[in-house]
Amino acid sequence: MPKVARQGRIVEMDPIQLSEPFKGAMNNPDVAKLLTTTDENGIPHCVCKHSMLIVEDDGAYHGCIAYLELIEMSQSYKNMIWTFNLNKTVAITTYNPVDLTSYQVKGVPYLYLMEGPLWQQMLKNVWEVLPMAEPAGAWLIVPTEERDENFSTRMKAEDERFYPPHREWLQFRDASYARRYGTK
Amino acid sequence: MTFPGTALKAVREDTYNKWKLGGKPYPVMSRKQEYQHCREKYPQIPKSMLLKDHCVNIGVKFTETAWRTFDERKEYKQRKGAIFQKDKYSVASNLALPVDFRFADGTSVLVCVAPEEKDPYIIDYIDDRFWLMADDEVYEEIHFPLKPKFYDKQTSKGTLMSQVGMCTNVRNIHIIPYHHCHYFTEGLQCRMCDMDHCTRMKLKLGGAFKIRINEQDTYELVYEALKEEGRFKHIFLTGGSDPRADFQEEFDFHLALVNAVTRAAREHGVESCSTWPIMSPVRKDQMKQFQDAGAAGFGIFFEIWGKEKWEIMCPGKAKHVGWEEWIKRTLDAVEVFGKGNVHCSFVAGTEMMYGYNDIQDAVTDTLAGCEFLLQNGCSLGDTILTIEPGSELYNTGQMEPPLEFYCKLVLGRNELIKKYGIIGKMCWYDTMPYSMNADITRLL
Repeated sequence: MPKVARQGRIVEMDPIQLSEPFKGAMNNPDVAKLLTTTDENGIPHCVCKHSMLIVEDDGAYHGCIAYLELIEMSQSYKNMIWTFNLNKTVAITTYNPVDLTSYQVKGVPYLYLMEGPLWQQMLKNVWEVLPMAEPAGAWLIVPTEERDENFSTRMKAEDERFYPPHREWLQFRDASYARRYGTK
Repeated sequence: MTFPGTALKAVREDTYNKWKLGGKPYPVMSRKQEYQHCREKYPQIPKSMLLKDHCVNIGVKFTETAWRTFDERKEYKQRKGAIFQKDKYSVASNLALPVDFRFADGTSVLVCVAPEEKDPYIIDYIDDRFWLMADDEVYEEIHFPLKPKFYDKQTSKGTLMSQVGMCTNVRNIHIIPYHHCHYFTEGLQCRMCDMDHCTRMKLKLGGAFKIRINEQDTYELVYEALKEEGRFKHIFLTGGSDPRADFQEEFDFHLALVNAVTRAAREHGVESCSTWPIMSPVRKDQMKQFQDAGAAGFGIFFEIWGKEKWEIMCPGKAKHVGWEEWIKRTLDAVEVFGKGNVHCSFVAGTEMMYGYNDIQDAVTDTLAGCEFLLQNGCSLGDTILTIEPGSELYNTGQMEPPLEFYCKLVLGRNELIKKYGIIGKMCWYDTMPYSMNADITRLL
């Protein structure tokens, strides 16, 4: 299990159990995968990264998300270093354009790999599709939160977050609603 | 069993009061205070990189458990034929030491073992992990690089390959042609250097240590090492100088080794490796021969900037080459290898041993040197000063400069690198564990 130093003490970082739909999305090559990082000033940077996988073996990194950085000194590369050093989080979002499903996982950068079996596996994977790639390293991200970002799910979640439920406010529409849909 | 060598009692209370900043005496701070001071004053420097320089600057110490565990874990890369001790006292032990380690973000740190009076950081082993500690606080988890596959193999002559080339961090093979520098023979060695002292120690300890390697062993090592996919990106060749006959013997030997490296690479189907001789700058026609043999670039250690300081700190270089010729040959090297492919390095901190007591003055002067080199198409390398037994600086009881010197230097250096747009990836975070310069440029 990943462990990190926080405020002078060793803290265990147990990766959350990721849902099967999210795992399915990560394994589906047709699903877009976005990595959002921030720089040292908090400015966000969100890019498609298809070089990500969930570590599912029984080793020390089980449950982490591994992301292979292909470009040394790219914005994501730099932001990951800052995120690690500032103890902040990154977000990984999937979006399936076929069924419009979307999931988001937030996580903590834990370890930058440059060697070892997982690194070798990721190199092998990327070289099958991109033989000229010269990857910089692979970051392990410990997932700490997962959200179902499907529209209906988010609507329901917001509806229930405060009282009175949001749906009750829907009776007070602005006038354009009547113009668009007519009145009953 | 372990036993410490002689350590001069150079402690911060004895030396810090002599440092100044902006004309005022620099305050005496404990290790913890110094780190906190720099963290707060220089938030532009990531904590891992600041901690790295502090570890090299002050040193580290292993707990008995951590040291024994490291020794037993044979999958880790152990220190083999190192060119310098890097430790701040002479360590003689039957337990293996690491060359370097990494923090979790890839920042690589040279292991410089220090005696108790330096108040070093502590490497401990807790909950099946190695941690950097101090004052009962945990700073970072540390990760030791894995042993390259070639390390336990032997060449056809029976030489242990790890004695022909050692791995620094993960992606570099450091080939040391000679472990003897002729400047020591004349008493003209660079004043921060402990090479021959280190070599004598290794000879006493025995084992498979080789003072001088050979072409065939080098070829076999590189051929074997390159079988490991996705690992080695750079090969350095650097050892002692041999100024006799205007460095002709040194040049011939290095050229033969570069040819051996290139031959091994070509047998793997690539045109050449990223091979860099790091040595005294040779003549332009010789540089061209290196390039033709497959060298990708050339490394030159100035050690310190400024003629007067250089002549005092590097008397052998001054006698056998001279400042003006050194500069001329450096610029000639840029003409041969091209912009950015000649790496020039200082042992940053040496200017605080001779030349300056004021941190800002020393930084300003060294940055002027950096600017001159960048203006002329060189890229910047750099290590930081570690004072080791056997060096003149050690023998005169000197102590490494404050961490703040390195903070100011690295930030000024970054601005110059951005201004001139030249970045050297020979001394890079995955090859050189000596200084945060190599790490912080990852963020440019």
